[in-house]
Formats: sequence, structure tokens, C-alpha cells
Amino acid sequence: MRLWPRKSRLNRLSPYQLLLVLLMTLLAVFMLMPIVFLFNHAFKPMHELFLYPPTFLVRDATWVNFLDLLTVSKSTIVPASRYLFNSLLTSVLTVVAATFISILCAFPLSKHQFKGKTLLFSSILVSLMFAPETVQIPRYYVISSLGIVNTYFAHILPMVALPVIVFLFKQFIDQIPNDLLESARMEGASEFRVFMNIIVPLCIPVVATAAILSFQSAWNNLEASQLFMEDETMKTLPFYVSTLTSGLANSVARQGVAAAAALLMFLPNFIIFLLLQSRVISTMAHSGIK
Amino acid sequence: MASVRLSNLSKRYEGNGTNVVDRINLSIEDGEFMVLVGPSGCGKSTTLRMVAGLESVSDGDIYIGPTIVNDMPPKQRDISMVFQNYALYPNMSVYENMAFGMRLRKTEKHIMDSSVKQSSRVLEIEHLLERKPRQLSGGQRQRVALGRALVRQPQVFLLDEPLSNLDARLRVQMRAEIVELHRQLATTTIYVTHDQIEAMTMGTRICIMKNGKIQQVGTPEDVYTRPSNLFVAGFIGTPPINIMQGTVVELGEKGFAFTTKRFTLRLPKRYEATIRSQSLMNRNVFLGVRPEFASLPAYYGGKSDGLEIRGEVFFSELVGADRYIHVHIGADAFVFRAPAYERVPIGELVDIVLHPEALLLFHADTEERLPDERD
Ligand SMILES: Nc1ncnc2c1ncn2[C@@H]1O[C@H](COP(=O)(O)OP(=O)(O)OP(=O)(O)O)[C@@H](O)[C@H]1O
Ligand SMILES: [Mg+2]
Repeated sequence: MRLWPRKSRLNRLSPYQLLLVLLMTLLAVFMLMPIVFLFNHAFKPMHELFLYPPTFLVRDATWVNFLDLLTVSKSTIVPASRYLFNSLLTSVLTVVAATFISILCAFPLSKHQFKGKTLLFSSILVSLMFAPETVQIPRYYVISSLGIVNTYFAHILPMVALPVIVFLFKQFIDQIPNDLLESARMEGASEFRVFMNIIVPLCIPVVATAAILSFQSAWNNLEASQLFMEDETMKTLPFYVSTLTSGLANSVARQGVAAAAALLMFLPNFIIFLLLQSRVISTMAHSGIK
Repeated sequence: MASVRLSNLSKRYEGNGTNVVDRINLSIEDGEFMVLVGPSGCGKSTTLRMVAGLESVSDGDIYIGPTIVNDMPPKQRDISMVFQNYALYPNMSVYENMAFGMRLRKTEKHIMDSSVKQSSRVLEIEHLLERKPRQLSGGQRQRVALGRALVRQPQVFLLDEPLSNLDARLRVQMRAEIVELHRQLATTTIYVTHDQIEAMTMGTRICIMKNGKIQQVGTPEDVYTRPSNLFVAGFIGTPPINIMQGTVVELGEKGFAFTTKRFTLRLPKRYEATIRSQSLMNRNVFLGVRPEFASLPAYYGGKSDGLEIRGEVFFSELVGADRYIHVHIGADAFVFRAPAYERVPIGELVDIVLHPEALLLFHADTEERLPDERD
């Protein structure tokens, strides 16, 4: 039995295309390096972690960092599982809320006419350009006046408004033919029915992308734990990881633990992306972003 | 079922001040199949969408039955519409597409089931009920769109160029099926198309529009044999009617004649009264002759009555049973019909007989057709 029943596709490429493939592959490998490093780093024993020059690949892979992480987490007052729970809960709720509210926002922006629509949409676009730090103080002010400091709302609400997703959904909904909506309206659908029965189901491919984006921002969000949470029990995993290495006394001792924790932090993003990636790419193709 | 009446209906869009639909009056009887036809941009879709309630009315009124529906939302008008691009919901199966309206009205399941079954049987799409729209061919999608529109048994049925995305053969087939469907259901129907053949073959009556104004409303035969003006005469019929410009002259006892630099034709008696009453003597008029009513002398049964012209053949095209022969008369082109087996060499001079009973005269300024004794 032949392993390559057909002529490899690479053979059919012109020299120019071959060159492109080569360059793209190199670029991809380059982009992949931090991830590879992250994985290897987490399994390095103590002496390898501090090698100079640092090695890229692990030589004596070991689980010791993860075991240390377990011990450390047992010794803290609040167990690591509590941070994990908070993180999971707030991230999942954020993803659901952000996605739904973004579609809800994108629908009228795309398919309805109303006064101030252009202004509203431009302000959403402009907010894409603000560095997050610039809005920290106003955001704190809003959160504290709402009286939701130290609640899960303070984790979720600031993350729900994601201009990128609104933009993505709007571009996508723009391409849904008006006929569809008009047809539904003529058959007796209210605007909300149109939204639930037509817009939302058609937006499902984009939901994958939106979910990744909002999950990433929610999962890695450190700000809420630092600024809005007073109780240790309300804080999330990124905060916990940051405490592992902060403080001079621990900075050497906990490097291995930190590497393991960094990997654990990264994994959910990675898995979600792997699961949804084919859909993401088709969204990009649909919305004219690619 | 219900009649539909448009009374001084107008539509303006903000930004450009002109009326894209301009004070049209149209009365569509209960059970009638009315076709709106006209060139692109003449306001057919806009009119239809106003009836549907998808566009607001700028002026005038729309009646469905006895009620003015100007401000009634689409869903209360009890109408259904088939869109040019079918507008099937891609996320729902064919069954769900057809049942959507009834589901919104919370119709009982068994009623919904049987209505969908019945409509899908009529349209022969029963075997497709489980499929998604993207798994259907264009013709099948068209049927589903029709099925979805008729499953609710609306008062009025609106169709906006429903066949324009189909290939020529399928279009002819669907044309016949829609007519047959209308014969069975007798639902008041408004059908928009820019294809005059579709209009002629399908409509009980045809409404021809141009620049937002109605040019003529009448049966297909009416608009074909007695077009109200030059535009309608030119728009209906393929190949289009021959139009020649000339002058009316008086021949004393013999009545009147139409004369150009190249030929003079005796005008039929039936125009005399009009020519006298509008004093058209020595004035310009247009003469219209359809290619079907001009022929080689050998194929004309009636008395030729002096209506012969002469032209030089420059092109002849075969369309199945007929051949259309194009000739030059001076600088003007003229087309007439001959049997398919008639071969006339290019460059030959031929005599052409115009059938006097089908001659049409149009006023040179207003472009209105001049009435004759038959009107
Ligand atoms: N939203 C709009 N704003 C401004 N003008 C419009 C708008 N929609 C349509 N029009 C104008 O109204 C006129 C009539 O449009 P309509 O769609 O009714 O034409 P139509 O007869 O259906 O043509 P077609 O055969 O190409 O579909 C056109 O000149 C068009 O430019
Ligand atoms: Mg149109």
C-alpha cells in the first residue's frame, strides 16, 4: 500500500507559491515559539529553569512544578480551587452575556434606522482605540457608585461591553438580506421574534469567534480582582497566579510554580481555540475581515 | 379573499424630492391576477412593498377590502409575499420555513401539519420537507417560497419578480404552474415583473408603469392591440413594434394618407373622424405596425388596399416557426414576420404589405394613441 496515493499538492505549486509557503511556514513556527516555550517551561526542573542562556526545550521533564503548585495552593488560606471556581463562573457568564448583548446591540445598528445611529456606532468604534488603562479610574467610579464592589457583577459587567464583538456581529448581520427579516415580519413576527428566530441562529458561526475573544478577555482579567474585590474569596485565578511570583522573597523559589500556573492559565484559551478554530476562520472569511 | 385598491398612491424618498411612485390609481378585483410591469426603476417593487406594508405611504391610500391599511403593520394585513431571492430562512428546514407563520400564530400542531402537507403536495415538495434551503436547487427553493406564501391562505398574494433567478426553461414551467395555482386558489394576486412576456402570459390584467406613473391598465389583449401610447406599444411585444414618423395629408375623396420621404400609405377610414376633430392634416404623427401585422404580399389574405412599402433586407433571424426579416427603408429599420422556410437573400429589395386593420397612429407631441372608430 502506498502512503501517498496521490501526487502531493506541494508538487503542483509554482516556485513563487512554494516560496510563499516556505515563508508562511517560517512565520508560523516563529509565532508558535512562545507557546512551545510555555509548555516546556512548565515541565522544567528547578536547575533548568535558571539556566543561562535559557534553553528552549525541556531536557528532564518533571511534574514537580505542578506538585509544588498543589502544595502551595493547599497552604494558602483561600484554596486555589476557589479562585478557579470564580474564574470559571465569571468567564462563562461573561461569554454568554457579552455574546448575547453584542448581537442585541448589533442588530438595530445594522438593520434599523434611528436618530443618532451613526454617532452611536462611531462611538463604539472609537472606544476600540482606548487603552484599557485610561478607563480604569472612571470604571472604578462607575462600579463603586453602582454599589457592586465585591460582587460577581463587578467581574462580569465591565467585560460585557466588547466593542470588537459588536463590530464583528454588525458586519455579519449587514450581510443578512433584508428580505429575510421582511418576510418574517410579514408572517407576523415581532422584532424580538425576528431577532431570536432569525438573527441569532444565523449569527452562530460568529458566536465562536465572539466566544473566544470574550473568554480571553474575561479569563485573563486581573483588573477586577485587584480593584473591585475586597474579599480574597471573590478574586480570580489571574490574581492568584500573579501573587505566586510577586514579593521579592518568593521570586526565586516560586518560579517553577509560576511556570506551571502560567501553563494552566493558558490551557483553557488554547483548548477553546482549538475546538472553535475552524468556525473562527469561516467567520473571518464571511465578514470580509480575511 | 379581498380586493385591493390604490388611490392616488405616491411614494417619495427623503433626499430626492421626486415621486418614485406618482399618484397611481389602480383597482384590483377580488380573485384577479394583476401584473405590474415596466422597465427597471419604474416603481413596481416600491408599489408592491407599500401594499405589503414594508414601505410607508407618502400620499394617497391603500385599501384592502373595505379598509384603509396605510398605517397597518404588515402582519395585520393578512397578505403574503414571495421575494425575488426567495428569502427562505437558512437556519430552518423546509417544513419549519412553511410553518413559521402559523407557529407564530400558535396554530395547533395538527392543523399546521395538515396545511403544510397540503401545500407541499400541491407544489410537489413533500419529499423536501426535512431539508435545509441550501440543500435545494433554485427551482425547488422557488417552490418552497411559494409554498410558504400560500400555506397561510392569505387575502392577497404578492410576488416580486419571483422567477427572475431561474433559467429560461424552468421559468416557462413555473409560469404555467403559478397560473394554474392561481386558477385553483383564486386568491387576489399582484405580480411584479419587468418581463413583458411573463406579464402577457400570466396576467388577468396588466398594469404598465413608467417613471412611477401608470401608463395603461388592461387585459393582455387590450394592451397589445390598443396600447394607450407609444411607450406601451414599444414595451409590449417582441420583436418590438415598428414606429415610423410621417405627416398626415388629405387625398380629397379618398380620405387621408400617411406620408414620408419614401412612401405614402392610405390611412384606414376608421381614423377619419379623429383626424378631422383633432385637425391633424399636415401635422406629424407616428405610425406603428407590429412585425406580426406586416408580411410579404404572398402571405397576406386581405385586400392589400395600397399599403405596400419596400425595403432592403439586411438581416433575417429564425425563431422556431417564424422568421423575422429586418429591412432598411431609407435610414429606418423595419421588421416583419415571415414563415421559417422563407429565405430572402440579404440585400434584396422586397415588397411588404402592412395589414390595415392593425395600423396604429400616435400623436407626435403627446405620444398618445389616436382613437379610431373601434374605441
Ligand atoms: N431607499 C430608497 N431611497 C431612495 N430611492 C429609492 C429607494 N428605493 C428605491 N428608490 C428609487 O425608487 C425607484 C423605484 O424603485 P423600485 O425598486 O420600485 O423599481 P422597480 O420598478 O422595482 O425596478 P426593478 O425592475 O429594477 O426591480 C428607483 O428609481 C429607485 O432608485
Ligand atoms: Mg424591483
